[in-house]
Amino acid sequence: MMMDRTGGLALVLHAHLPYVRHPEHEWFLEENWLFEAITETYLPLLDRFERMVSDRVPFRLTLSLTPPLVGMLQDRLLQERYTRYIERLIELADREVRRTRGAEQDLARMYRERFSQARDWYLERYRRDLVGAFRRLQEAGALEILASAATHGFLPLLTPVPGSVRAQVAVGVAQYIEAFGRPPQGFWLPECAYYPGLDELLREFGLRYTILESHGVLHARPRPVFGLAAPIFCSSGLACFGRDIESGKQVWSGLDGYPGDPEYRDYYRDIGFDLDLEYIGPYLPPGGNRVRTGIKYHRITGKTDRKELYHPGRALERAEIHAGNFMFNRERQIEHLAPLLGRHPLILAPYDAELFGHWWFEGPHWLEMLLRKVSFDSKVVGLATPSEYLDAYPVNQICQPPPSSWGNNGYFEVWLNGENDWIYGPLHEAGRRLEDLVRRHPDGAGSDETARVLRQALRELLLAQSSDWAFILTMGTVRPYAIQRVRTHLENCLELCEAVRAGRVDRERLETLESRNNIFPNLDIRACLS
Amino acid sequence: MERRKGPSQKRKDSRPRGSLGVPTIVEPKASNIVEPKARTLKELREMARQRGIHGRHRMGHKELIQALGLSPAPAPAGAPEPVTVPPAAHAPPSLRAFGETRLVLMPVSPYWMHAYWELTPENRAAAERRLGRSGALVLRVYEVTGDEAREAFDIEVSPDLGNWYFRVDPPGRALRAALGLRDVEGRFAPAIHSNAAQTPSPGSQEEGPVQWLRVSGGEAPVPVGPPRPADAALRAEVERELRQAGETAPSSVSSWAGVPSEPDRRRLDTP
Repeated sequence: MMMDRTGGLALVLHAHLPYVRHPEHEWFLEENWLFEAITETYLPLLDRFERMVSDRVPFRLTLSLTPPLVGMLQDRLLQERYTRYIERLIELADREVRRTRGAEQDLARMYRERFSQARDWYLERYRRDLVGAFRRLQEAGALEILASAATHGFLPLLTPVPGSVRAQVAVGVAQYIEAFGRPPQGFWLPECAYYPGLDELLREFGLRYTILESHGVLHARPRPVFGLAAPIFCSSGLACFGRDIESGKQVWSGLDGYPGDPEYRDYYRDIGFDLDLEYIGPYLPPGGNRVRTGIKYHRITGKTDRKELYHPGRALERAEIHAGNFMFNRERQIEHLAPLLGRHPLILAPYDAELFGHWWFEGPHWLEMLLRKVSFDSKVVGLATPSEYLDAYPVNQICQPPPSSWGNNGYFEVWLNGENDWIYGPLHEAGRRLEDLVRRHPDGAGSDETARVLRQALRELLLAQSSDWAFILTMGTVRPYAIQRVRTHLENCLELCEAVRAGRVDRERLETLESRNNIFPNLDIRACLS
Repeated sequence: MERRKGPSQKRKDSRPRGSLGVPTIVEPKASNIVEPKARTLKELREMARQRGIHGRHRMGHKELIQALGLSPAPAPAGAPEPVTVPPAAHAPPSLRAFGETRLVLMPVSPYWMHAYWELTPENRAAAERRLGRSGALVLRVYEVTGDEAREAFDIEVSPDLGNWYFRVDPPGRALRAALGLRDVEGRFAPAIHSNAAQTPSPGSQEEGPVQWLRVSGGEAPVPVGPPRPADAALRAEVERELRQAGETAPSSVSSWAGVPSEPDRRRLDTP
């Protein structure tokens, strides 16, 4: 598709949530992260992708589904809990239809319909298997799904224990093959965090490419002659695609990005905060704290607290205009770049998947309009995935990217600063101890039980390594939860290591941990051997 | 035992200025940095208690900073002093100490390096025996070039368990460090050596030589020629992108967890 146009556009959606699953609590607030994303992002995207496939729209989109997200989507308990969640939301929307009148009631009806649809899709259309639905879209040639690190570990800061980095990559790739039935071509680096040498490890696992923040490519040595418009090769042969700057700004800029348009739905105004506790209380977490429910009646309006009522028709029109504008700008960019390069330039635009639908309510519509327009209307820009680009252009410049990430200021300080630095000593120590034990029990030697304990210890270690915890500690959002997660998993890991070392395994305790922190059921402990 | 002249003397004698990663004095900007001055009297007293400094109860803020070695000693003319940042908050008690002597370096950004360490009483005593007398706990930083590690500067650190941020200028340097004891004559007995770590080189790099690689299928990458240098128009385009990248600070695209926090969140009990 790109080859009969002047240049390519690779849209990349990064779908990730940390592994949050608490069977020990009947009700757990942070599990809503997943439920909201299923309702507002994953289901609407799947529906639109499938509609385009059946309409024979030849679109191409690259998507990462990180291992913790895949694990949660496949988990029985969370599937049950999602069903409970969406039923309650339908009940609330139903009460809203009865409470409201006029235009507000129309909106309440819209929500009731959307939530009922979500339930029907989830239970009947997909039979709870969203991972399978994404897999089929990859098999149909519409999606290219990226692998990622086991628990979204921030790899540069795990390097003091090489086995930890290896485990993140190995376990992530193994789960990918299990879930998607083929080896991955590309690898999403958590937080786009790269350090020299990581490319060699990814090559060992047969990966062809990864994606870096703009300066990760632009500041490579020597300076890349094509800038961001083409990938570079590390000497290992791993291709690095840099994030395009302009297309990023158009969507992400808080000032003039599309999602800030006054016609779009306001994310913050939510009946969870607006209505009387007596009425809304039963739909809020126990304890009466207010949270967002997902039912929102207002549009952004402007910089004002007096928000006007949301008008879905007008908002969808805006999304279509914005999709046209986005395509127009990419066409101009490509027309400018193509003669300079003497080959097809590629614009690579990565976004957080959860932006679409959750934050930016109209985002899925914008995306569908863009994919349709580019597929059918443009003579200049064609959709491509990074691996399609590498098939067309297997020769690229050799450059060495610097250490970099997409965090604030572009390096590692978001994940290493006075708020979170204490996590690294224990993370490294637990990693060393575990690697040491695995080396001494290469196949869980002695008894099956030792292998089981070591497997659980590795699960706990991986769960503690999520970049999300360090990020939350920096942002200060749900700090006590992040601290608790890091602490609990590390204590569990160290406890299990000690049990193996001392040859004293508490069977009951092991089973508790296995059922509580159950990610990666088929984990291979040798993954952590460097 | 490692015998050395005092670090400041050594620096003056053997090092052409600007040739090494000798840090220059720059005011730290990052919000995570805690200046010694910003520490409370209570915090300083606690640090003094950990180091067993006598008379700490009678000392004021200034004296405590001095006694803890947090204020850099006056530098000889021409020898820039490292700007360092004292340790920040520690881990929960269960994860604080492991009874293993460790020293780990991690780069933070082009100009900042982070070190954390644990020194067991046994290893401290062993270092003291080798020194033959007591000494101050020092983080000695080396610049690594090829197989050579050359001493760059010392940082006096206080607790046997802690972490530190220090500024490295110019950036893009490979460093190693040793944690050990330094006596009044400047002799140094290392207790442990760190891993090697490199700070990133910020900004755009020099052009060329332009080399190409073919990567296809499962075959080994093959270099291919001929080199194709960029023409002027393409070069100008890349320079424009570089300026653009400089103006647009990367913004972490995410994460769910970055949501402004819900007010009055319940406290979590430990499962």
